[in-house]
Formats: sequence, structure tokens, C-alpha cells
Amino acid sequence: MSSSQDCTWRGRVILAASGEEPITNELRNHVAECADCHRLYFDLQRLAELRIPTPPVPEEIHQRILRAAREESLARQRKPISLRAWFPRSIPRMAWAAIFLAAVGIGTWQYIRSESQITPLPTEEMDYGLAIVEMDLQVLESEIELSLLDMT
Amino acid sequence: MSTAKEKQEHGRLFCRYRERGDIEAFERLLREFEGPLYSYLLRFLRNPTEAEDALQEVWLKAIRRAESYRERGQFSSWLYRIAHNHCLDILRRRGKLVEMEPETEQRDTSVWPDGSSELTKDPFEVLEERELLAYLDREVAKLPPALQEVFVLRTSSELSFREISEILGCPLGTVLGRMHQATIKIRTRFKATGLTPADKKRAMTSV
Repeated sequence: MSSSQDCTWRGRVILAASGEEPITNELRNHVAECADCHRLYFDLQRLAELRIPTPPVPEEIHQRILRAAREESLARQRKPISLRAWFPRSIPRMAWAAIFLAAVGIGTWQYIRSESQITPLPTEEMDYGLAIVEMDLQVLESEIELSLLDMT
Repeated sequence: MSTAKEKQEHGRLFCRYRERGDIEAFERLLREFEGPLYSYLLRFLRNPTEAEDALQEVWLKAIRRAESYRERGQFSSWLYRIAHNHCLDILRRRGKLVEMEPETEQRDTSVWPDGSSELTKDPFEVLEERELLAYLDREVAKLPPALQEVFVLRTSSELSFREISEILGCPLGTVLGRMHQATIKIRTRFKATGLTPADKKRAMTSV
């Protein structure tokens, strides 16, 4: 059985022994041939099989954590709604940026379109406008006549 | 180890708590993770009182920083990252990264199962489960911090090596290398020192 200080299979052996990668025939053959990897594989398998006892958490601590979770949740509900609340985290930021830009673009296009269309004034408004212009002309005519008289 | 579906479910439960204040969802998560997390803190900090305080602090941090959890990531990785950083802060405050337990026991070769005094055996091969757990409990504390954190994270929790590499912020290859080194050191120390009477006693009295 050969042995190497820095075997390139080591990583795969560790992952396979820990159940995170499937053990292939190739790997199996290597483990059979390389002393270091052989030892490592079986040590880690044994480690993976160990039932390391999980000490019980004191109930008082459990309840304290739950209480804190409840209080924090209530405090969050009482907070004024931030701008963030309008933006669900499920939609990535880039998508929100794209939606915003699209909204601005559409709004700008609509504005430009509306400016280019000359909407006709309603008739009543037009008549009123014309009347004002007529009055102004009459005043102007009177002033011209008066100034002509002065000249003669 | 949790399946991918179970891991997704953890994330969904936490989001339900965060967005709708669903306390039952939070409690389900708490019941699932508090034990392994406590085990990790206990083995890393080596002090039950500190481990209990740390457990509370870690969960409080997770609750207060709920907004920082990204649904795409694993909840377990996120939680253990908080725990790991909290442990490092504690160890820095202590002024050391690992407490070395002094070896006061005399090596007793008669503890070998076959009475042999030849110290050529692999602890993973020769020791019964209880004895091995006692031996690991002692020896892991003596590992250098970088190796210890990988070994403890791996054996206390159901985290995969990939998740551990995310938590520690180092490449997967580095994590695997450290696990390898830790295993070699544990094995080598057994060859040098054998099983002590204290280990035997611990094995007899452990649950």
C-alpha cells in the first residue's frame, strides 16, 4: 500500500467518508491502495457514526429566547412602515431597479406625447379669448387715432 | 444531515417569523437548532455557564438581525456564522483563542484493552464509543484554534463541509485540509499518550 504526504485524493476521501459525495469505484480503488487515505477514510467514517450526546438546553433559556422573539416581533409590528416594507425581499434588487426605470421611462414618454398634441380649447373658452383680443385691438385703434389727431 | 428540502423549510420558517411574526414557526426552529448549537458552544467555549449565555446571545442577535438573513442562503449557515463570530469575540476577550488543559494524569499503559504497552493503536479503531467520546472531548480542546473550529463545527452540527467553509469564510479545500490535520493530530496524540485513567473514568460516567 503506497502512502503520500499530500495526496490529491484527500479532499474527495473526506467528502465521501462524510457522506457528502458518492464513493466511486475509482475512489474505492485509491482508498485500497493509499495507506493515508485508507486510514483517513475509516477514521472519518467512525467519527460520522459516533452519537455525540447533545446536552439538554435549560428550559429557562429556551423560554427567555422565545420571549425575546415575541417582544421583537411586536416591536417590529409597531414600527412605522418603512419604504423597505414596500419592496418584498423575494424580488431581487436589480429587478426593482429595472421596474423603477421602466416606470420612469413610460411616464416620461407619456408626458412628451401629451405635450406634442395640441388639444383644441373648448368653444366657450375660445370665444372668451377672442373677445379679450378684440377689446385689446379696439383700445389700440383708439390710441392710434388719438395720436394721429395730436400730430395734425 | 438535513436534506435540501428540510434546509429550505428552515429558511421559510424563519421568513414567516420575520415577516408575519409567526412565533410557532420560530419555536420550531428553536427546538431544532438549540441542542446542536448548544453542543457546539459548549465544546468550543469549554464552559457551561458561558455556553448558556452565548446560546441566548446568539439567538437574540439572530432575532434582532433578522433583516440581514437572505432567503437564498441556508438558515443553518447564517445562524452558525453568528455563533462562530460570537465565540471568537469571547475568546478574544479571554485573551486566548484556546484553553489548554494541563496534562496532570500519568499515562497508564494497563488501560489498553489487550494489556499491551505498545502504543501503536488508532483510537478510532480500538476504543469503544464511550471511551472514544471521552478521549475526543479531551484532545479536541488541545487542537490549534483553526483545526478545532472545523472539527467542532463538523461533529457538533449537521453542517456539511461546504456550509462550514461559508461560515468560516475560507475555501472548501482549506476546511477539508484542516479536518484532515485535526484527525491526524488526534490519532497521533493517542499513539503518544494513550488513554489515561481520567478518560476511562469519564467514559464510565458519561451518558
